[in-house]
Amino acid sequence: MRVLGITHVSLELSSPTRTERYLRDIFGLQLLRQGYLRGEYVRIMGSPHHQRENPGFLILYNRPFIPRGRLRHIAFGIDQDVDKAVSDLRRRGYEVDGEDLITAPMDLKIKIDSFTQPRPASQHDAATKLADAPVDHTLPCLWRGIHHVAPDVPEHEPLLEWLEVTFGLDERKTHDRRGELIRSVKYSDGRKDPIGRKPSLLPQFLRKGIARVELNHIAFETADAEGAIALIESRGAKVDLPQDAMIHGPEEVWYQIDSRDTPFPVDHPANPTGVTFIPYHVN
Amino acid sequence: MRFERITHAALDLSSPTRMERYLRDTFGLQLLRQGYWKGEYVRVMGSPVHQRDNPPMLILYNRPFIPRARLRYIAVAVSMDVPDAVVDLRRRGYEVDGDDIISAPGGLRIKIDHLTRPRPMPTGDPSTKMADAPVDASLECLVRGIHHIALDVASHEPMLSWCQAVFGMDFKRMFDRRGEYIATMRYSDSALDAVGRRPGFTPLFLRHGNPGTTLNHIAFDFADADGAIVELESRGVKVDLPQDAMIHGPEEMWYQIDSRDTPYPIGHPANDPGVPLFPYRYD
Repeated sequence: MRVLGITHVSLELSSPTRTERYLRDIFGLQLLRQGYLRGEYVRIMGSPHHQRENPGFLILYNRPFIPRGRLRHIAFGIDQDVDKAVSDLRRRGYEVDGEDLITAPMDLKIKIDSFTQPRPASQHDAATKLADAPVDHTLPCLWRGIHHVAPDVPEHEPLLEWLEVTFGLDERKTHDRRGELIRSVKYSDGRKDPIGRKPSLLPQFLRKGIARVELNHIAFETADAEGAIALIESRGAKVDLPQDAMIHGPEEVWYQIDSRDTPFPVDHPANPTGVTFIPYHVN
Repeated sequence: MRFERITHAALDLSSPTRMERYLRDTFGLQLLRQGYWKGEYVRVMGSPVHQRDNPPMLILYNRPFIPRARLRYIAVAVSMDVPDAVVDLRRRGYEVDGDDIISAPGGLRIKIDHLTRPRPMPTGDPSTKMADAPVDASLECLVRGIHHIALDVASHEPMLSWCQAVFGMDFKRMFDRRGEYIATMRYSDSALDAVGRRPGFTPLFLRHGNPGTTLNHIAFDFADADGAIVELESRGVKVDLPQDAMIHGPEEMWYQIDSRDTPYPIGHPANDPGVPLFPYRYD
């Protein structure tokens, strides 16, 4: 089973509507659906233009007054039918729950999903009632999808090994950037981008002492990374270039600009490695 | 004894001065008095235009570095003079302290107050020393008073029963809005507003596991609710319409735009029940 990318990320927020407005005003993401999903009220944000078969990028859950936004789950788009993948995982001894969620080390929840054949919303479930939201097709969306999700981890090894065993990611990489020790696993045969990076879905930031995997940031995939900086700043948001083009959103959720087609070259103001202990190689 | 209106709320804040500036810049509320009140330094905020006989709307207490604002008490105007009301409550077996405060379920503190005849300041108390602040009579105040204060509760029933027993409220309503289960106690004989609502002073948001009764939001009463959205946004404040015209202030204080005379009709962008599990009705 191979991971093709991240279909969506699910977040718990003190005010989902505040984040909804922010995502619309700054990035052009829209509310696509809302309502009860298995007893929890959710707002599904996405782009009506991209990821047409499975357009939700972010699913927002309501958790009033939590001190900052929290990661609920990350959904992996895999290269096979969801049903078959779930059966395969169960046969291999993994517990997969009714939401197709599998628990990775340190309580990280991974949802098994598909870019083109997602599982339909549950039928005949009294606690599920979702309605489509009116969509503005004229509103351009900056994002084509999710480039990567960076988690904070109390230790690197358990999650790296789990990803290797579960999804066959077979190439490890370690680097430091401005004091952050980051490790990731990739597919060794993954297609390189123009600056030589293979796709890395979950670069892990070492944060000793935290109790579980937490969200560091969500990087969005855009067709024009340079243009995105200018556009976002023109909309009133600050892009933190020395932090790799990070945008600090409400509730301490951090969003990043990235691109497979137009990545920032090394030493671009949005790709500074800082003073490193480990030489930075992209390939 | 009848609950007539909320006169003011007292808040514990990490930085009362930051909040003072925010309330002035955003709503036109002004510092009316400041100083020691029974040994605690307080800032009394209100409108010099509205609530002339009992002008405070918010009393700000200093609690540096608390993680978010906390509700200290809600002051309620009742249908009797304050001394008579206190005697009546004590006769009925309720404990009322020297500040005319009675404890409700979940640690909520309710101060017995009066719209036109509040209890005068203590005299001869060495720990009370208040001074009037200079008022800018030309500063327009958008807020006429407090419309309601919404509370988070671990369970609805204790507060509902308490409101019924203490204030004789006899009309219970429950509904869900965007995943929030809300209950209110009202008077069945009170006048309906323009969209058919009876006044609900303390809507209760169900939050299982909540440690006591805590603040969800304070809704201010505006003469022109639609106009208030436009005016506040022109001042650089985002109004979160899908969250019922909520404004996210400092220290996770949520303020809402509401109106007794010009409430948002159902279907207005600022009155969106979302996808409810049970039909939403006011009556």
